[in-house]
Amino acid sequence: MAFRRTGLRRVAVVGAGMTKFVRRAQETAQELAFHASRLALDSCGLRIQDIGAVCLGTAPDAFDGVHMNGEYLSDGAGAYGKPFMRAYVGGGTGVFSVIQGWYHVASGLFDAVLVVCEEKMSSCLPHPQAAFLTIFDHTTERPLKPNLLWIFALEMNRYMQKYGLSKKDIARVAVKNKRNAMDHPAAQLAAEITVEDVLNSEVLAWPVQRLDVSPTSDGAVAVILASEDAAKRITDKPVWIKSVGWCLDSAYWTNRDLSYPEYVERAARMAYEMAGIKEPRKEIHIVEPYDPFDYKELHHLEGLLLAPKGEAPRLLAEGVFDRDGDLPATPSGGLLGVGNPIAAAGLMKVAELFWQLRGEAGKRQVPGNPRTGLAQAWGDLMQVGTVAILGV
Amino acid sequence: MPLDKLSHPQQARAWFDNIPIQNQYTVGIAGEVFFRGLMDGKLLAAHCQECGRTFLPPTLYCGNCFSTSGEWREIVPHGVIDTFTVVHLDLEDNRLEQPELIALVRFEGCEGGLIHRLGEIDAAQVEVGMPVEVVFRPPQEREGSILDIAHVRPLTKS
Ligand SMILES: [Zn+2]
Repeated sequence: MAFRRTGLRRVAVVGAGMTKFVRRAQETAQELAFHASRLALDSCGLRIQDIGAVCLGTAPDAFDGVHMNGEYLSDGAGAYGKPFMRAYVGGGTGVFSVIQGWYHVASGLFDAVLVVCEEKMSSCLPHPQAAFLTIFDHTTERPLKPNLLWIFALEMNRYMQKYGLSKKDIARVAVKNKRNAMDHPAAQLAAEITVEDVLNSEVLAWPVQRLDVSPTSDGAVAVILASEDAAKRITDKPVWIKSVGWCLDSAYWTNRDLSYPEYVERAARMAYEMAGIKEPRKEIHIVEPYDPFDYKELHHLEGLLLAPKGEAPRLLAEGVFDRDGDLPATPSGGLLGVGNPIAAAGLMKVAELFWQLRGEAGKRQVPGNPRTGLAQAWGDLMQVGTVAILGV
Repeated sequence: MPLDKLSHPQQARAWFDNIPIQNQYTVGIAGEVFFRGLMDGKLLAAHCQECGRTFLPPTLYCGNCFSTSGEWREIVPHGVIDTFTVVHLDLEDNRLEQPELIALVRFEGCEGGLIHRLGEIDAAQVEVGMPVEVVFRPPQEREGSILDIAHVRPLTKS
């Protein structure tokens, strides 16, 4: 694969913090970013003066209703008077902003970087979905008045058809993730539900039903990255970023295989190669795949080469992906259970790995002293895969 | 055919659409205090107990030491013109019959300041460094908005 990894420094995650994910926050977007940033700094005893640069992620400006939203948020993210950069790859932003923070440190430029992701979707009326209406090609598709659900419905149906899957096979993801979220103090939609509940919920765009989908949310998450020397001064439990990967597919969804996320596989292969991982299924102990929809978790587990194509639903039914299973998937509760403030949701997955690998995940703790975890997010025009592998 | 080569731009096939969204902005935790203050005819600033700086408009956090500001202080609504402009065009590029005076006003002891309209003065008489005071709308017209301040005007000696 065509990337160089010589001359890069080791990078560790040394702190993390997050706000509650809620339907409607009274706090401004800046105030949400501040709370998460402050919590992350406090978690490792750093002051803002110890931070060399700030990387910030937020998805469409239209959600917060502020053009140049990243720059608007920068004060709340402690970026005042510092080198600052905003990442924006739609839903993939949360993990991509960690990748961006990683190369700020790996390059040797900075010893400590604050990575902050924020989203306030409640300010967007009548529904945040409207912000996405213009992502479609303006001459060949938009005259049909498509919305985001069309993509997910067509993708989910293609996936089900190709592998002969039923709605029931997929609904188990929603049941698992909402149940896992019961143990997350910041969760918005934790619940004990059944497969039947999912199958009986309102149909949005067949085969997508209400409980197949994550909510809209407000929230912020922050993590602190440090160089090896700095990390060892800050904490005796650094969690290393072993590798990163990202990849983009065609801008046209008509030109992609809707049953399989090829771009996720490419991003994963980049990360596996960089980390020296030969057998992902054995060497990854926890995975936090992006789960805005229940079928997407399965889709992504296959793209990440953690399940054979079309077989993630079978492994799910066998309990492999349960918190105490062989390969716990989304032990946090994910977007389906904790909530989906877009960019912040992706970063929440990285924060979850940080807590899990340090043995600090409380009631969510995966048993068996996991040593390596993978977080993945997905977005842009539903065509980007972003991956980070963390380890102790 | 590139658009700039067409003799009649309407020959290029095109259509129009928009992004149909509106936004509802909460004023936030610090904003709730600030705008309630305006309704009471008061300017409230946030004071950082760690570094002693005072911020107007107030923020929940101190931009300097990144701690929660923590304390509220009522500011005497007298300031100084830091800079100003005379606006002759509206947002649609129409010439304004009555040009609008806009100033950045700073307040003693505060970081930041307020951008607002200057009133009760002719453009020719405005000077940088001029002392000004905040004029609030009558209490029954206030609604918790920055426009609860009607304008600033030259400080009347009293
Ligand atoms: Zn301070």
